[in-house]
Amino acid sequence: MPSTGEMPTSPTATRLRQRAVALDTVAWRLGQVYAVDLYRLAGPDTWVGPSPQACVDDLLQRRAAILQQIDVLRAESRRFTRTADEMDARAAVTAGVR
Amino acid sequence: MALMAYHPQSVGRLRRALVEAAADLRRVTCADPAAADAIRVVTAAVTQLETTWLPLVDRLLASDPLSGGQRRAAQIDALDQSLVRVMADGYGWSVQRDPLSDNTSIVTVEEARALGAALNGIDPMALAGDPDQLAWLAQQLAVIGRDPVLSTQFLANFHNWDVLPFVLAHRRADSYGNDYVGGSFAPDIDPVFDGLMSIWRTAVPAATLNAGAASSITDLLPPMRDPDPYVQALLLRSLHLDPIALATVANDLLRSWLDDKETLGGSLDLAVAVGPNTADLLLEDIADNATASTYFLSLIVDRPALLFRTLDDPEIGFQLALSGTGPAHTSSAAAERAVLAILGYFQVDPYATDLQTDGYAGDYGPFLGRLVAPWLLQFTGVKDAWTTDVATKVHLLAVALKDEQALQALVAESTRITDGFAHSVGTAESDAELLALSRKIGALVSLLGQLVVNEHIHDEAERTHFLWDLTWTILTAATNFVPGGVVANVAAAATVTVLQAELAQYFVAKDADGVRHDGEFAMDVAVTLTAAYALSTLFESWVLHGRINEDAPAPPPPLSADHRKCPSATYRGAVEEWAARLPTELEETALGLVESFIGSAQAIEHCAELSF
Repeated sequence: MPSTGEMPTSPTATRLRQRAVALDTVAWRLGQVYAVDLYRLAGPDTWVGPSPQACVDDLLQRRAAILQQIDVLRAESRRFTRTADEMDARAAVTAGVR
Repeated sequence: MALMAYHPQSVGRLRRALVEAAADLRRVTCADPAAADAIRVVTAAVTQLETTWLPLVDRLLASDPLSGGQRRAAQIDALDQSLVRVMADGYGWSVQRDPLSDNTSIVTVEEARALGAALNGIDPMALAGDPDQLAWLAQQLAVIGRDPVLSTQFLANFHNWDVLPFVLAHRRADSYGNDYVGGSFAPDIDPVFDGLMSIWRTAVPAATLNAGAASSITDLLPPMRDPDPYVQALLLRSLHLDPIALATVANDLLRSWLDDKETLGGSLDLAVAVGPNTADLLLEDIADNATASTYFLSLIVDRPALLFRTLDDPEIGFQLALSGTGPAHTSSAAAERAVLAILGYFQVDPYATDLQTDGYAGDYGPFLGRLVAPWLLQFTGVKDAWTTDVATKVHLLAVALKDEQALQALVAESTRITDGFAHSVGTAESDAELLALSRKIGALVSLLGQLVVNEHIHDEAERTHFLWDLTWTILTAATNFVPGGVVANVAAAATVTVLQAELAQYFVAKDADGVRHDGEFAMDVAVTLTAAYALSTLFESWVLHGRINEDAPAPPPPLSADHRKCPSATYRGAVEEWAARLPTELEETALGLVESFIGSAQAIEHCAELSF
């Protein structure tokens, strides 16, 4: 059978790449949620007072938390991908030695 | 309970957005453990939206807004509801009670704007009499003043500089009534001034506020029509200027204030006669700062009345002058100008002649004694003294020492005298330097003694007491600088005790030949004892440093048993006889030292007086 030219990959590496894709998907999804922009409707153009101020402060705080999680998810995704690549590279070296 | 204002249609849109956002978040799922934290954040957000903010919005939309009467009953006109009132009155928003209280540590841009606008239309008299509102306002202004953005928004909306500071200042001044210390509104009102000026400070160019910038009052203060100096003083004080700038503007303001006072009298300072006035407000802060005090004194040497004829509390002026003329903070030349100008001012008792003086008839005698204490040597005619002619200096020193309280203060100021000596003469490291120092001290003792004799000739007992106390104080200060320093002083202590006892013996007897004779006699006794003390100190120093044997004969006692003879002449003869047995070098030093005290023209004059 002719060679496809693709490097062989381990099941573990494949699994890590699948997880990386899942995390990227969640990160992208979180970047789209309506809640991230909700603070714009809860500001002083809509209402003023202690409770409105507490509301907009809370929405801004939750927005910041979501954005932070997006960064965390993307960083974790990159780490998974990098680890999978390293595993494949080690496997290729081992195969060549044989 | 606080209030909230809202635009009903916008709140309706917010409600729909909250529902949609919660549903949207619910659709975000991921089973991967690495996404667990993210999912927890999402879940918490959904919970908060659905259990807190949606119910709040639903309640708001389901309830009737407050009527006009209900709003007033809920104190919508209070200062802390400024933003709600602006939105309700200006934009037609609805108002309801808010279940939460305001977090006063946070001020939004909108609140800063609204507060500035509200202060334009507020009843300032009502505000000035409401400590709770003042406290809240001061706190909010302080928060705004810490943020340039908030400050800009506040200043863009606040235009009441003519009225609000004036009314607050009037209330402050008025609150003193007949009680200078208690019952004042100052603790409530001053923080409001601090807050206002912390905000205004953000609008003043940095170059104007730079340390040392000699800015004008108009550069520093908001535009005001015909401001009262008292208001200006409160505003300037709250700017917390650097010392030089504060001294500069205080000088400017007090010059015109004093001019106006002579023509307008009691209509100044918001027509309130009791309590701290414009000068007290400004000079109190200057007096607390030596640099500002020194600089301020340099500005007013042409008109010392700015310091003493302005203050309601003369102690502030005294403190400022003492701080600004301390050797640690000023040069000898600057001190000469300031001290002599002040003494010149007090040549004629200003409190006895000037009914326009704000303060009470202050006891300025002790102040003058303390004022001259560090600079006594500079009043003599010896080298390195002040450049003003000796006659003028002696005349002005007599002004400082013309009453007994001044003498008492001077006697008690050994620390200031010592500091002044350290500044003026340093330490004598050789016999030659010691003799130079002795000449200065001798000239000073002689001068002071003569002044005391002349000024207090009418009261012999007091005169002799002060003369000795003063001489003793000066000697104690001076001996810190002789070779051997403290060690020599300790060794000489026993000698001093003997001298004191001898002095007491001499001064208990009154002379029947006349007061002048007694005065001169006391003077001669004092300078003789001074010389004896200095010589004993020197002798002990020689012994300690091995320049002379321990068993060498000690200097002769200073006073003979015959009270009618001239003590200094007798003592000088005894010293010459004693010194003849010393090595030549030490003999010359010993005789030179004694000569410094009792060889002076004044001492010879005393003996001449005693001979009549």
